[in-house]
Amino acid sequence: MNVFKKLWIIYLKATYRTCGEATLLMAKEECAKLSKDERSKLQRHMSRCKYCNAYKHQHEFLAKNMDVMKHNVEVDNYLYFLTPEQKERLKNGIHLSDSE
Amino acid sequence: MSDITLKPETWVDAYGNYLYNFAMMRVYNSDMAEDLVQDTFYSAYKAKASFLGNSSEKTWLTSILKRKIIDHYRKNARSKEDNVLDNPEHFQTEGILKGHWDDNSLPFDWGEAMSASAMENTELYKVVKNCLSKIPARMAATFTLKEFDELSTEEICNELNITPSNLWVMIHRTKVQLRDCIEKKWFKPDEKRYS
Repeated sequence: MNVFKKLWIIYLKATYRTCGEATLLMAKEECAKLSKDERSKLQRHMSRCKYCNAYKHQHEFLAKNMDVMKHNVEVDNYLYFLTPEQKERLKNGIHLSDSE
Repeated sequence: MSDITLKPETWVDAYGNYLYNFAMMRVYNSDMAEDLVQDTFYSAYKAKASFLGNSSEKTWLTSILKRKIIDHYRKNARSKEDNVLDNPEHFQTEGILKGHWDDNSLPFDWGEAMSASAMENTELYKVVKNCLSKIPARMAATFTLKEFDELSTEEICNELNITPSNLWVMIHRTKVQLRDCIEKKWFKPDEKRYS
């Protein structure tokens, strides 16, 4: 590897985060405030990485899908139903605690 | 004195499915969800004298179930913490592109699959749930508490006895594994849109 290439890689590493670091910063951003330096490096990475942008959009979409499912449960639009056997077991459990 | 009278004999029919769905969305296993609901009814019955009637029966039962779920997460949180930043299965571990996406894990554009109607797709949600069930319990718990229960960083760290930096790493790793699993289960390999 020639000197220019090495310098170029050093410059890139100092300026741009790797995809692993960028995705970690996305997770950190959800939990805490990023420093100015972190925010700026994340923005620079996102401005040129189509894969990390795809990753971000996928998670935004999945979060919306989960919000819809959560809302459905709140309005009694269920995804799962107790079977008659499960209901019977639950009722028996309450009766058992009654007799204790 | 409470204006609301508890009716334990109606709990299963009135709230059973609601509580079961609530649990299923958080523990990803039907037997465990049933056990948690059973445990909730049992604890509620034992504590019925302490019910003040400040909330509805459903809200009271849900709050007991929430506590049971967090206790379940704690019991299953014994796996060794992983402090590795980049998961070698998803990011390159050597060479000039170290730390960047591995060729086998490159996220691709989901395109039409991310339409508004797909957002309400219960089958997709079932794939998400199935993928979460394959992720180590503690990691999946951090994700669930954040996404579903919208707990703050401080609350999650207190409940699971982890540091904020552990939390970011765990959420990060869960998300990376989750999307990779969804791409493999929800899409066919030849649907990749990047060449």
